[in-house]
Amino acid sequence: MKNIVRLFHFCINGWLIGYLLAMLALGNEAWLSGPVSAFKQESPLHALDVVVQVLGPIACTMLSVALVLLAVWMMKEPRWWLGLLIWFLFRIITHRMWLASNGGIQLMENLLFWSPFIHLSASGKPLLVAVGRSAFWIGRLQLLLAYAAAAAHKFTGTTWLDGSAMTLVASDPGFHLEWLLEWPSACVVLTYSTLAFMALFPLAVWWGPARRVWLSFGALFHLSTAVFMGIPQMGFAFIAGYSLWLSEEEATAILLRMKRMWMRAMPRRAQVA
Amino acid sequence: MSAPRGLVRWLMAAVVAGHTLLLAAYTFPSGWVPLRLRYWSQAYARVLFHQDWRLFAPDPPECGCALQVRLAPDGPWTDLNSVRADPIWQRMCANACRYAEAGIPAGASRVEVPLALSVSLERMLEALPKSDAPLVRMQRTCGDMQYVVIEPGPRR
Repeated sequence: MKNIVRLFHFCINGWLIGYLLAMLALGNEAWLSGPVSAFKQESPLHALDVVVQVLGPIACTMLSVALVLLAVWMMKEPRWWLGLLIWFLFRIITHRMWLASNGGIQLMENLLFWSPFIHLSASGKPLLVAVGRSAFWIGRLQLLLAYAAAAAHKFTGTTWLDGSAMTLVASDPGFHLEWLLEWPSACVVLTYSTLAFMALFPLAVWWGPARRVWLSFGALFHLSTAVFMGIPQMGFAFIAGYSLWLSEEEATAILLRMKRMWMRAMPRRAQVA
Repeated sequence: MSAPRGLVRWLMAAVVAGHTLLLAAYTFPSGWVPLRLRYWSQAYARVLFHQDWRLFAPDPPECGCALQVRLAPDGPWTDLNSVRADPIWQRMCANACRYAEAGIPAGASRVEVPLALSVSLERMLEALPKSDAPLVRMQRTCGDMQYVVIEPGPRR
């Protein structure tokens, strides 16, 4: 479980760094678009909102740079209190941008909340290990819940069952999928395969061979939503969450491969080390 | 020593199961969840664990949705999403329109939006030239064009 947890920390903090760098690249636009208070006016913590509001984009930029540095630190040396601090600061940013939020950000808010507790599973104390393992299972089940709930809502409609849902999605110019309308049969296949993938994911991951198939298909599915539909936060958040469902051997192999790639990219550092 | 350890294990399993059950009650279709459990799940999950998995569900929207704003009583209507090109702004305009659309009573030409959305819309309008009484409307394209005026909800 040690390497699964290491890979999980690496993935979610990697996602966080990518997200924050994208926000920083957008400049003031990102912070000014939805400055909604995180705390009620009568709350003593409202003063924090006022400070952020007055300092505006500069405060948010500084907060994001600090978060990037904290995430790098967390990747190198995970600490439970650091994880909680990262989650809290991330929530301040996502509260300000609630109107631009999506499921990927909500998933990451949840995974980041549990990540410091998951880290406790590496502790030697039995009680902390028990807390860590509980958080680990909450993180795992969170991913299944997301797919199960998404599938359940689709079953209450009609277009996912009659095969026309993807045609409607492709007709929305906001998702840049107009080209799909030229292949109506592909829309039908995509509708049913999306529904089947989501509905069966919570079952498939419990059995080794099916788990590998579903995780691989899921990674492809989410990558394609990132590329074709322009929602990378969501796709990469789910892929980062998949790390919790890998086996210890798979996580070790991925970490080794990442280490080799890093050594190849940084030959001088490797020689010094 | 084994009794407390076993107890801790059962306790932790109960925590995991309880948390997941409450989140399931919060995220699954409301018709599938008993009312009382739904209430407790909202009390538990809304602040710390909020999540919404109605992704293109129950059905993807059939109508196009765009927000338009008018700064003077006789002025022209401008598409709000054309004010800025960045993806965050585009996402916000699209989400604001869909959230407002969800509250339209059948056949209504006006909709009152919740406080959080009206505050965000106010802030978004600060990106436009200053106006004393800007008017926001929603353009829905369902074959023909429908226009719904957006009004801020009551303030607490």
